[in-house]
Amino acid sequence: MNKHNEIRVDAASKISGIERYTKDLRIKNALVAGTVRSSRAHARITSISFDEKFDWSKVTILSAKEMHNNFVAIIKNDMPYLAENEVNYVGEPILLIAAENETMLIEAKKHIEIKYKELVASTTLKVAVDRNRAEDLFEEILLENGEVDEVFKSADTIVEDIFETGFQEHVYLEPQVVVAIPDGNTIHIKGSMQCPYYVQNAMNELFMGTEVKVDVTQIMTGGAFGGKEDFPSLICGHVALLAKKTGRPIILSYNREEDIQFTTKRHPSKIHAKAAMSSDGKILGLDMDILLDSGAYATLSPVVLARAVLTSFGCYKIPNVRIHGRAVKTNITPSGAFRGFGGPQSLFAIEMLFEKVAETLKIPVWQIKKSNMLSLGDKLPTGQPIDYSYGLPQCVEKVLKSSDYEKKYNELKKYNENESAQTGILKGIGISLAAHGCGFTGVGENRIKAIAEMELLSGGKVLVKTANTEMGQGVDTAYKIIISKKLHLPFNDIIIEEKNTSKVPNSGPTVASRSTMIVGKLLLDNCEQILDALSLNHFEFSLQDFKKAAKEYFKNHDKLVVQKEYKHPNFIKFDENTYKGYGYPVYSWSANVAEIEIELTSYQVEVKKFYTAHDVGKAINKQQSEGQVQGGIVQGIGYAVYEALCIKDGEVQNRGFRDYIIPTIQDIPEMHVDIVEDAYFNGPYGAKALGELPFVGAAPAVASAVSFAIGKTATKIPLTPEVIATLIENNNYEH
Amino acid sequence: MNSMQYYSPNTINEYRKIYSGIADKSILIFSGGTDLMVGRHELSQDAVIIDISGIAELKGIVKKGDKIHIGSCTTLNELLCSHKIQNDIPILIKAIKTMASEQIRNRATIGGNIGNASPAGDTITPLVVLETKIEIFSPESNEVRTIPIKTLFSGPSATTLEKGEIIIKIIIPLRKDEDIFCYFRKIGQRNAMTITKASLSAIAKCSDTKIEWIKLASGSVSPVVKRMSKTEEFIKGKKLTPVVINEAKEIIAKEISPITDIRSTKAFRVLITKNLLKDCLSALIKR
Repeated sequence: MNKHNEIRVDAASKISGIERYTKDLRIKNALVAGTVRSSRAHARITSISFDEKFDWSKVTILSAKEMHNNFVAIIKNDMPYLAENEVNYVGEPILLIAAENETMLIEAKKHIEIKYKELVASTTLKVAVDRNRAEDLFEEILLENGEVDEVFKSADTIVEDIFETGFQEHVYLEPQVVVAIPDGNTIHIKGSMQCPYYVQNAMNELFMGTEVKVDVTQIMTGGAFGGKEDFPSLICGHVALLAKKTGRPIILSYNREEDIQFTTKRHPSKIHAKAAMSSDGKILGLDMDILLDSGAYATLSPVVLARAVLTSFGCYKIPNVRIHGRAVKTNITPSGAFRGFGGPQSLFAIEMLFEKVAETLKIPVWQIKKSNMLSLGDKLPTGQPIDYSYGLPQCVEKVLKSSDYEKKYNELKKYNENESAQTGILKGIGISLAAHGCGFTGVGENRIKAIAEMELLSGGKVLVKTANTEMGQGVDTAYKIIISKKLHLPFNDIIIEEKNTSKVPNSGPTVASRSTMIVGKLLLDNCEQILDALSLNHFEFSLQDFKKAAKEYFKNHDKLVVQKEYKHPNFIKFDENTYKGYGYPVYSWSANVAEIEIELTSYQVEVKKFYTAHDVGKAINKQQSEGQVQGGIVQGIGYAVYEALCIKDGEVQNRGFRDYIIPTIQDIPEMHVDIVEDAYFNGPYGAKALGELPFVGAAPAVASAVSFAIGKTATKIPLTPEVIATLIENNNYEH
Repeated sequence: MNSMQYYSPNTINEYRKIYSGIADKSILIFSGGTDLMVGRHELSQDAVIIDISGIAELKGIVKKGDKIHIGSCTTLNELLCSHKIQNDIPILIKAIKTMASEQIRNRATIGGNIGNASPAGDTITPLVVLETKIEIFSPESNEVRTIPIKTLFSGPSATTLEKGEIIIKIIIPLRKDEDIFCYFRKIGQRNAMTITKASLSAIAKCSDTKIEWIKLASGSVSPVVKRMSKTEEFIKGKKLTPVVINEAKEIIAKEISPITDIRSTKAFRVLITKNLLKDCLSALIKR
């Protein structure tokens, strides 16, 4: 397959504005829904009163008391659709209202009064950890390998610090929006979402024991980044319940303010990391204690923690390891899925621990990282050998060359010593190595048993049936490229079925950078099944041959539908108790260099240049791959420098773009992206994960460059000017 | 349930008539609306809104003798593109260039920025150091009064405007002396589309070795934008040595009274205000 730069199949409809998003649907006779929320971080609800002055016959109210199965089916099933007796975070839904219009909704809300009795709240991670209650531990993981205690006793030097990362908001363009349309005993759910089958599963649980049937359709989704993985299950339940009660279609759409305050965020982390070092800079042991702030309910925290643990050793060979991870409950808006999914937190810690090692041993950081980097054939602390699709050495070679890292490292050292006092600008260059486990963690894929289906249509077209959703990442185009290359069909002959649970099989959620690697491979297998059925050689046939064979086939057959279920290759095994084995079937790799400047009047970190090389196995759509990488870098720069969510007494203070600061086009650097293709034997044409990796390595590269500029290790992000001033001026400017 | 009322007069006289016709007088007057529209869902459903940005008499830039008259509904981009402003009031150009985005500058007006009375209003600090005067029209008395801009503000988002009064003109005195130093810098949270954490405007006149006079105003570090008169007084007549600059930094730190909010902290605002003064005075020396 040649390098591909295909124009995205959704480009024209999006650029011209004819694409229809959920809010563009014109649904007759629909009511609008609103949410009455908790104003307390942790409290018992003592009373809910409805003002008699308001005409309640004009609206429909729904409370927990009317519900049977009041839990959102996500891993631990601990989160209610509506709080009944106790609220666990500011903004937790207590009541739902359906009204004829927005104005009436606002008016009705004003006439409801909820009284509380306050309970002790864990409004910070520190408070929750200090309270030390077993029931606040959503998940605990211990991964051990080798003789950790021994090696820390005998090591030449022990280097340790505490590394912290903040909340992050997804800032998808399109806020959360879903609709429910009742139709006899069936409720059709439509909306902006990543995983229609997650919603289907949650609805099945919600209506278990009733006659209600639900189907779920994804409508074109304006960005998600994980924010529409677990969260839509909650609000789809809300609209479904109201649709059932009123018998009318229901629309629930969050405005930006509601979205930023009350939807899931990236888990903040606090990681105590210790390295046992030999005097020549070899890491002998790693002891890491990972804390993730999960917020009020577990959502996906156990699996986020699992990825954090399995990413914690980065790209290094570490013979003795102890990783202890905990996901802790606090009384804050629940944390959930977000691009990188636990990886960015622990990768930041390991990369900055190496920064600290370099500072302590007075050895250049790249020298330390290089001498400890994995070699082909080395084993991870889980016992998994890295013996195929290991493109990191090539990534390193490319990024060192494109950035001219080593030359600039020396030049900038001299500049900071001799010229920065004059110019008032500190400069820095930083380097990070990143790994991202491809697809689900551990046995996840075997548990999901993803199925993809393809149907041959008369005329020799194919209908592609997966549940994998287009949310701006380009999956529909990727699938068409994969199929087109195999069947020699033009894009117009490849039809992507609507992502509707009554029409497509469960090919698993659109998460974990798995859609191309796992489901794309199933589609390639489907193509082969079709070629077999048509008695065509897999490699030597033309479009005309294919069309002719299809025509022949339908002379004797009614239809041709092929299905393929995913299963890991047999040797890929993982033990969930010991965390030993293949955490992931393969890893994608990146090497990153960032150049930054800090202007000493404002203390603003400005990322001037960013160089990266990504090993993605195979870039199915080259231009789109580069776009993904650039977008991930920008989001990573936001995470590293700008994005500060402000929590006060457990309540999110930010209200929108004016106070949640993301980088604009004026704040992003010149980017140089190299793609490395070290094929993965079990991916389509060798492709492995791409979606999340660009994000994972960005923040550590920026923080490494900041550490260079200020001459000490930056241990926490976001590196806002207040944090930078505190580091430089040795005085606290953060509070 | 009442519904929102919206008026858009084309002349000042029309404005006066509309105003007179509204009974309860709890009116929201805007020009440009780039702040108001962002928070539109917070508006009460029975609000009465008057949009004055369509009043043609309130647009335009005119040089009259030793003064520049700016109509209050002149947009920020009209000011940016004006040769009169570029030549005669460069400090205002410097400030507007840092404001918002192209799209917002096309709608936002100078009168709106002033009337909004934000301590972080970026046209306000330059106008204060320029000793600008503001013309105000009252629909009740049908008269125009003129006040110094510094007396317009009574607190964050609060002005001394009486009910119904609108800002109609901004009058900036021109300095005949050509060798005036001017400085504007704001520190925000990023390079564009950003609200000021702290800013500093300055104009100064220096002789060979000394500062003859300097006028300073800090933004976003006190309830209202005001002149830093103690700092000005201290610098006046002095040669800018490192010792003088350091002392001046300590004086300005005492003149401001910043707060901690979602955008920054009190301690950081003090620090960067001192840095801004140093940056300003260093630029003055280099000149």
